[in-house]
Amino acid sequence: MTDTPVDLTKKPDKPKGLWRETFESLLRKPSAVAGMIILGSLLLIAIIAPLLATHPPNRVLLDVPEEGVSKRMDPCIHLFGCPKAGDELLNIKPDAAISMAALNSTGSLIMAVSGNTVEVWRTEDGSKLFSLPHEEPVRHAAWSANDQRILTASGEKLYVWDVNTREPLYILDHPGGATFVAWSRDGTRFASAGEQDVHFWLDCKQIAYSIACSGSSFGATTENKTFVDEGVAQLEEPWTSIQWDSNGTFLMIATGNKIQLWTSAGGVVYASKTIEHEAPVTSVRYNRESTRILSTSGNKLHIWRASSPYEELQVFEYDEPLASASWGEQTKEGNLRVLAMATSGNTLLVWDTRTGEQLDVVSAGDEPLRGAISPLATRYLGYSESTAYVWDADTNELLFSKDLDNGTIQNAVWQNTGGSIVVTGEQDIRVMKTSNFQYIMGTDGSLRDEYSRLIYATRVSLRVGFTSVTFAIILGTIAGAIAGYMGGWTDNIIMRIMDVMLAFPPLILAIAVVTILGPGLNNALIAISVVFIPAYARVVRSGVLSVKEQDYVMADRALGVSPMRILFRRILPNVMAPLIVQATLGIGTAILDAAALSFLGLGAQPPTAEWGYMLSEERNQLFTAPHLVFFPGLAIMITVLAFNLLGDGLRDALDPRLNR
Amino acid sequence: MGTFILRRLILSIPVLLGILFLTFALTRLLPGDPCRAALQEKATEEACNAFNQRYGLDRPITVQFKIYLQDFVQGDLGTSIKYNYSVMRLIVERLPTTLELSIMAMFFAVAVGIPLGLLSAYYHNSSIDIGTMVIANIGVSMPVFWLGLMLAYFFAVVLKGTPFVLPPSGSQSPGMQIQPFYEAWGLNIEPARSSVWAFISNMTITNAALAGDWAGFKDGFRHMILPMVALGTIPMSIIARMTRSSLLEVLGQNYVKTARAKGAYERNVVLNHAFRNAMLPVVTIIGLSLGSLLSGALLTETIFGLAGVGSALYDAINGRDYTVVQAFTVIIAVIFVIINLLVDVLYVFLDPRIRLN
Repeated sequence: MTDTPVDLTKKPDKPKGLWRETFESLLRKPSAVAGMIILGSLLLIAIIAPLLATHPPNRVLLDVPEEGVSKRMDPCIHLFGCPKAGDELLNIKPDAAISMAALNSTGSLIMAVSGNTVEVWRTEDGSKLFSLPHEEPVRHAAWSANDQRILTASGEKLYVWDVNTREPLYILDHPGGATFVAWSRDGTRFASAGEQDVHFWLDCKQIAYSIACSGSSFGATTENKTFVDEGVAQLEEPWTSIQWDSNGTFLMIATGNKIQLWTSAGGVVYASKTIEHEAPVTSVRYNRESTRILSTSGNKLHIWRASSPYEELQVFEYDEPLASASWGEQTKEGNLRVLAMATSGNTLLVWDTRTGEQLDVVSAGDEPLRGAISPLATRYLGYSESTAYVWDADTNELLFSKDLDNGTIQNAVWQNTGGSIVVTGEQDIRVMKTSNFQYIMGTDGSLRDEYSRLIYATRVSLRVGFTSVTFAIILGTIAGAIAGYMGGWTDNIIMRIMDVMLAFPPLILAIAVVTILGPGLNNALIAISVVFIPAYARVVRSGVLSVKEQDYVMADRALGVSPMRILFRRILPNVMAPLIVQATLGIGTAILDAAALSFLGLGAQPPTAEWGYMLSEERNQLFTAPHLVFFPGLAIMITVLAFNLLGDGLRDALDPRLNR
Repeated sequence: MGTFILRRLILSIPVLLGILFLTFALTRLLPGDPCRAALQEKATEEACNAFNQRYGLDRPITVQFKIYLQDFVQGDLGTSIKYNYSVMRLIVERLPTTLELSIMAMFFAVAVGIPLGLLSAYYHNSSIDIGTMVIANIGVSMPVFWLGLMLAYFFAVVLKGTPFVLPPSGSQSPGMQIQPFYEAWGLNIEPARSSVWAFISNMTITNAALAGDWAGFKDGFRHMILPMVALGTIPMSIIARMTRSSLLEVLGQNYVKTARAKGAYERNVVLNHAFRNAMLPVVTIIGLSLGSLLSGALLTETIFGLAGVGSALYDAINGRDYTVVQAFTVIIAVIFVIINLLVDVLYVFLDPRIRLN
């Protein structure tokens, strides 16, 4: 390089050449190229995030598609062939004809009663888990609330099976035989119903101090007592519907024109309340908390208070007889709407219980329908003997209808997650999906789309990385330049402060700073910038020191060029190379530290979509939903890796000493 | 050499003072209000006044710093605002686990990292080299907490039912009772909470080994494997990269060429001539990664449910217990400075050039 004054006023050629050379040398390194490609893609993803994401990042998916109901749903693994509405997720075919089927409470197992056996299948892959053989045909079966026991009614006997050992724990007698069994929600008792008699059974292992168990009101418990028959509810007419309330206190029986709430106390079973109707009760349902009773009788749909004084709260009328009552609770934009549904012929009718207005009327086919609202009231299900229909609750559009080619539909119910329906035919049990929606990576614990959040979080992380490093570079450059240029005491003081800051492990210092500033993404960003200042200050200072005494800077000084101009035009271009290397590697570290801060609850605050925070939010679900932990961490890793690869490549390219 | 160590010791005093001043300044000079940070919504005017009086925050800054220094020199690191225990007691109780974990992680990092770097340099530009460097690059880019969670999932869930299954949390199996080693030795002492005896017996694996409890040792070790790998992976990657680049640099030097020209086996050249000299920067990097190990321990202990300093710090962060956070920051920084000092001293032994200057 020549030192003629002409050269000084002209922009030097060398840096330009250096950059081109650097870039070419980067292109020769496969790892650096990989880094650049990943980084480019990440920037692109960040920019076009709204196009890539399928949902807004913070939208709670309660009111849109029903799959969101399933907490932390599994991702659709077969990316190109995810099932659509009406597709069969599962088709279970037991050997003999099916008389009934029931899902367990988590929806992971399905029980099919066929002939003399009860078969239990896994809903995940449709494989048979075990079967429980009986001597006589099984008439009815039920899961206990905790899914640990199965109750079956076969002949004149009741069997209580242990799901784990697959052995009958107890065999009890129900004279005349039961056609219906039901566990109470707390699992301490169950009811078995014959034609007009309903037996109450109590588990003495759980409620040992009951009179029914001990035999007297004062008596000590008898060891090894099993289920005891507390008493029998004798009905005047055959029952049409039986349901336990959510506490396991009352058994609601619809019989003739009446609804009776039976209970047991002091070893006596009695009807504590009778609700009279004008016409025979065709169906009756408790709502989820057992605070209301919905019943259909004649042309009317009644809503009753399920506690004293049991008055009629509302009544809806229709021209035709109603049946098949069902509740639905819809959360829409924060408003809770309680829906009541009943069917009449081939028509489904839905009322809003608060306003009393009739919301929807949908009909299909010619045959009479039975039906139910999905758990979050986003879909309506109706089924006749041959066909199952699913409607969208918002648009009343028929989503799909499915004919059962072999045999008739005995029953169709919503899976308790609401994502699919379980249709029980005579020969097979089918699980069908009810929407076209698909969450590529499932939903997180707050029912938000994991994939969309992951995409949007790219913006946050890149922003944090770039901004914090930019701040650190600006402050570090100022500090380093002043220290290097002034020298002496100023230099000493500034650099000793930097030494002290370097004495802290970066993350620990950042934690200390954020703890004082208060948690939050911006404070985390400030903390990270502060922590990184010394690294840049050192680089700039050493650059300034090496250039300060060079002849061309001396010449500038002699010519009276302002120190600022010397700094920006002469000195900084020389420090640029190491600074850029440091910055590229620094962004990766900044992103990693920001994620760690968010993981510790000090960075991004809910509901921000940020990888570290997303990961920490779901870390307790690691063993049930590992994908929710896996994907955000993978995203962090890929991003940091890209910056590291590029930084390493730049360093090698700019430092000829390492070039081998 | 003595003068070098002495000079190095004297030089670290201003840094230690600086650390104390900086942590002090953080709470007093930053815009955040310690009272508001600690009491949150309960921070009324009166409550804050009482708070400031209790913790001496209403006195002049210089007086506060003087008291702070005095307390620190006397080993009083303050009292937790939330739980009212002394921070020093907490550190004595929790440090053994962290120490044990860090040493094991460092051992893992060195024992795996150096051979990997060596292999990589030895088979320069081969597929072994590329593979090793890919692993090392991924290793430095991984968030510790993610690696920990993934390891826990893989070894506790995926490998369930195989002999490779490892416990995902805790430092002992439930019901596993290991006798303190001094009791096993038949020493009739009732050690104070903060004595050396208690300190050592708080280290699960060391205690089991000293007590001769083979089952307890195996159990404790099995619990430590996953945290050790999670914590050790980043230093391991850094060490592997450093070993490789340092070895490659040394291998290009003239005396190595001379050795080769003499007809020494390549193995001999790499392991005996080059390796020793290439280790100098590696030692530095080992010392430096001890710092990242300390912050990594915070995340690792949280994930694996180990009762170490890191998880105590995590609880303090979540409880907005800023005195504890502050005290831990100081302690960790001081440990970091001491480690750097030790590394420098070690350098003197390794590198004759420094000794002669």
